[in-house]
Amino acid sequence: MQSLDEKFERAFEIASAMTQKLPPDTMLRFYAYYKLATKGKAYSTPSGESSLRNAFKLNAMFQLNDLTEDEAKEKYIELVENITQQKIS
Amino acid sequence: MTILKKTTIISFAILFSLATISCKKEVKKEPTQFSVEQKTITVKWTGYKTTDKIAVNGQFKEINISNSNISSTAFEALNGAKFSIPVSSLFTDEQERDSKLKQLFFGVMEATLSLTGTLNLNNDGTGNIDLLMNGVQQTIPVTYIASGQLVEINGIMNLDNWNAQSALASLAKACFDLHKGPDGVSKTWNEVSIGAAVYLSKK
Repeated sequence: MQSLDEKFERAFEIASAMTQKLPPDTMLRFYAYYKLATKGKAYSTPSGESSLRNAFKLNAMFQLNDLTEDEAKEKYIELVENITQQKIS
Repeated sequence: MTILKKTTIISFAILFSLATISCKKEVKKEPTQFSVEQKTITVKWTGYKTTDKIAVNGQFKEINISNSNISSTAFEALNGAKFSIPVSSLFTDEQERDSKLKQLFFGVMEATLSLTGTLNLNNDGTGNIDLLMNGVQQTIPVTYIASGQLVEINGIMNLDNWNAQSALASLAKACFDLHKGPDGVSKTWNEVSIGAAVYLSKK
């Protein structure tokens, strides 16, 4: 049985290797869960060139205000499992 | 086979075909329906300082929407939507600035715990935001671009239209040195750019 951190790492590897085009809202969920899981709630405006994309990313993080870092890891794993239809255990 | 028999067989064949076609259930493709996903609504703003008009960017963490629609066009899904944005959810990348804006700008306005209003969009890429702030109801002319599920709305507001001169002066006083440029002049602009974007749900 893998620990939450191990499963999260595995989920991140799978997500990073994905080649299919995902809808923007799904990509934003990936971004926000990952940021919260790894950086916590230290919000700051992303440094990308597109101000619109930065605003959407920041907003996606605001929406996770009720989640803990571990819950964000679980949500990230669930998202990968739903997209790949593959259980990470 | 006589000509009469042939004609009868052909007639039956045509009638049978017509009957078969008419019994088939017509499958109509449902038109795309757009609806507003509250969590994707992003509201950003830009204020300006110094004579050189240096931008100060911010967002709001919480935007509450009601009265939105389900529609076959993106702009109709948003048209008439009512919003309420708590001033306490204001966010810039600096906590000290957030506090000043909440207390010394919005805090000195009349009953402005939230920014409330209605979004009115026309089908030609224009519209307005009917905004209540500082006890004053005024409109901000906007333009918008709808591209698939993404709608971007932009407008510029003049704070004087909401009688916000005192609130602006209060902020300018608190930030006197911070709003001073290389020319030594401290300036806080009464112009604020508003940008809203939403990624609509599609069914």
